[in-house]
Amino acid sequence: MSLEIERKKENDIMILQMSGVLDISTVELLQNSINHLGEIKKVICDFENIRFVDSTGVGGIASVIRACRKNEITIKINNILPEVFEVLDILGLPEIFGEETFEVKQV
Amino acid sequence: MRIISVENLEEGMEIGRTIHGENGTTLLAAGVELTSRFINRLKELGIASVYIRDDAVGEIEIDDVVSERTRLEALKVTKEVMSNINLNSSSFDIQMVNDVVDNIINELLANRDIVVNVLDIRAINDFTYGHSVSVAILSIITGIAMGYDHTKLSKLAAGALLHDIGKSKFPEHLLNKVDPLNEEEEQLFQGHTIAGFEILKNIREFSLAAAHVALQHHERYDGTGYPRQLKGEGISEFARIVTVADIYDKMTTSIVGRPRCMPFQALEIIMANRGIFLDPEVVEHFMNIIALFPVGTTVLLNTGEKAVVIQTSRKHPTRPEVRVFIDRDGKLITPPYEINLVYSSNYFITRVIEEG
Amino acid sequence: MFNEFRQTQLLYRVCSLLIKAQQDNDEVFNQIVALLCQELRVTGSSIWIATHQGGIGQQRLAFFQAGEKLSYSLPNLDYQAAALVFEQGNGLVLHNIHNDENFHEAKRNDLWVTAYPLKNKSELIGVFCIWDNCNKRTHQERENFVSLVQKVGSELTNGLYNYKQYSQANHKRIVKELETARRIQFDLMPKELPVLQGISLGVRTIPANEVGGDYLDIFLTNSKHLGIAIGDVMGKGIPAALWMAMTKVAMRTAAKDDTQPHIAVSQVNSVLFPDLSRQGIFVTLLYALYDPYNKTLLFSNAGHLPPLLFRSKTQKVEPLQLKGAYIGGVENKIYQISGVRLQKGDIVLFYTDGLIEALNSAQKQLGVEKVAELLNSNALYDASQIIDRLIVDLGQFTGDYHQTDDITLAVLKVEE
Repeated sequence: MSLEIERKKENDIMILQMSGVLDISTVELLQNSINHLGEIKKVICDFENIRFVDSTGVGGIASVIRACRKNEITIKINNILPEVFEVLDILGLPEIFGEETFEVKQV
Repeated sequence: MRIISVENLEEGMEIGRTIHGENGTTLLAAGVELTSRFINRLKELGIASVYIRDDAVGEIEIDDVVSERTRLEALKVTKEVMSNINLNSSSFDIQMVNDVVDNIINELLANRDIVVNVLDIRAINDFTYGHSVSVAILSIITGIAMGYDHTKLSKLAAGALLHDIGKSKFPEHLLNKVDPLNEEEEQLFQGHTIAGFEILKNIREFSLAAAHVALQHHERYDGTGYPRQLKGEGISEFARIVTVADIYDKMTTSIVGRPRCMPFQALEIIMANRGIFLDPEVVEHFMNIIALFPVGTTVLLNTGEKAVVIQTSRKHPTRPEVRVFIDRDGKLITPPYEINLVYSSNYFITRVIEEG
Repeated sequence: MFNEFRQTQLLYRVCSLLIKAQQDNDEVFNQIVALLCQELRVTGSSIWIATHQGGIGQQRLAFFQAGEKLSYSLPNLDYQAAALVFEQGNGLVLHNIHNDENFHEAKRNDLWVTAYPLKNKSELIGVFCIWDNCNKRTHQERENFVSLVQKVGSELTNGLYNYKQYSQANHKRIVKELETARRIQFDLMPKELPVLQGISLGVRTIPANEVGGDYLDIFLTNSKHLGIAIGDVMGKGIPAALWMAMTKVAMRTAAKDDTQPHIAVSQVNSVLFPDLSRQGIFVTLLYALYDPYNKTLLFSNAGHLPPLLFRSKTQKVEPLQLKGAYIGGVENKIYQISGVRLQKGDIVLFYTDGLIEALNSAQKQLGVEKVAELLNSNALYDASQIIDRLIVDLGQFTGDYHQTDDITLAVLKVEE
């Protein structure tokens, strides 16, 4: 089980294409992915290929969102699989960071 | 002694309990050392697992609910009755059936808190006779748990023992067919219920209530069974008991084309079907008479140690007494020691080790 | 029987063997018990060590039995004696064990045992047992004997301590940290369940190798209602274990005066929020309050998995849905409350994600649907038996595949 993150830059938007699982073994990669953002104003995390998130992974997502907001960077998490979103939803992430931050993949 | 699945048998292992064939003949006697030929023969017969003597575990006493003699006698009588019917005779010696049924009842009544904790080991081709005897034993124990008196038990037992008598008229090649039956064959097969009833009801002195067991043992509590789609209390109580015993026994023994369930798995399926296919009240009594982990089962404990079940009780089905014989590093514990899980709440079983 | 000189000599031999044990050689302990049996001419001897594998338990490190044929099983009695000492923490000197109700199968009345707790400071790290035939010795001899056992015991304590240290040092410091975390977690878990008329209760935690931060508490409130709190701290190891402790204290404080669940949970959030949010950690918490008089279950949920309710009447399982952000997510949040009325035969299963996320070797999760199914097919048992059964089913599913997260279960069943 692993996590792969592909970084793509379009003007001042950074797109993070992620695939794999987000748990204790991979959460550090997620957190490192938003280092050195420079002039970036917006980060989009594409979760289409994230198959599984556990509670540590959710902690990682929360800290990434917080870190971005602290640096006044807009962050969105898109294409979340419904079963993954269920985990985020039970923990209350949409409530804490705003519904608009999370976008569920339409099936 | 412990239970080992046939795939994991090795040459040189010693049989722990005698394995009987369909006529009650001895297939392999206790004490026989296994050769590759014997192991292959067991596989051919479709036997899933056997009791093996194991010095690391030591001796374990296994209390048969019914003595071997009585069981073999019942097997003989069932075979005789059913094969006679097969030869176009329409009658049989009712006294013979009553005698053997009484023997079983008397042995079972001697111990009211009986728990079935022995794995029934049968060959696939032993499906009808061995199965009939087991269903009778399970039905009687259930009847005892439900407070039946001797007279009622006798009728229940006779019906249970001969519930499949209609199969005598059913072509043998279809009985052993591996592939699912086609529609026509299925119709024919379902007819064994009516055929059985016809045979039994014409025998004087055979209780009509017992004959109804043959007719109704494939009815389902929710009305989706056959032949008459009877529902709930509309099905006779005897038949409701035998239905549970029947499917439990089928699930826990090998049948062509389907793997065998362990008792705790079979009980789960039975419990899930209470109120659906099965009478919930009967199920409630039935679950108490079956040991979830038969004596001789190897289990893994939460400590990582392996142990063999040596004693079970009705009151604490999930917490048997076990003998710990392998430590968590996989080393043999000599001599092994015993833990009664009822008194040791820090310990629990995490799974059954089927491979033995 | 044994003069001072021979005693000293024996102790010397025990000590020299113990020095070898520090090289991670546990065979030495078998040599020690054999030596003691021969020199003291006793029936048997054993050394047990405390383990924290799968809860607190005991493991036999060494055993020796003199003479082959006995009419009873010494290993079994020996297990029971050691278990008693581990349970009570005190030594045991019993002259006629058949008089003692703790020995379930003692058939002999001439057997006596000295079971000596091996304590390093206050921590019980092992038990040392000596078995003998009491008819063989006079009263005075027995007294001397006990004092010798104590001397050997105190040497064994040092030896065992060093052995544990050494074998732990071998497994890096992490192993030791792990033990500590497990220990904290075990101490925080409920030991004795409250007794309440009309219900049965069962709880269990199976810690993963790396302690996962599961938290469970179960208690009676001032007006004899039942409080059940379950949660999961993000993260693992000692930090998670410490947050479990904080949560437990905050929860108990908030709940003690029959506080409504949503008020209690809101209060826990207010207390823990500042530290949690600063550290970027969160805790999920579900608190349920059961009133046995009118059979109502009120609950509030801060990000935890919804408990499963099995309805006896319909034989259906439904989740007790109620959303709310985790503890440490939103400052001063007021949580919501919900409730259900239970009936005879109804079962509520509280659990942590370790249960439904448990994997088998094909990387498939057990899943909540399967858990619901298992709840239905074991619904006729009482609460603690349901837990025993769920654990076996879980084990059957996961097989040899290693457990990566803590698994915690609590079951409440309405019996009448």
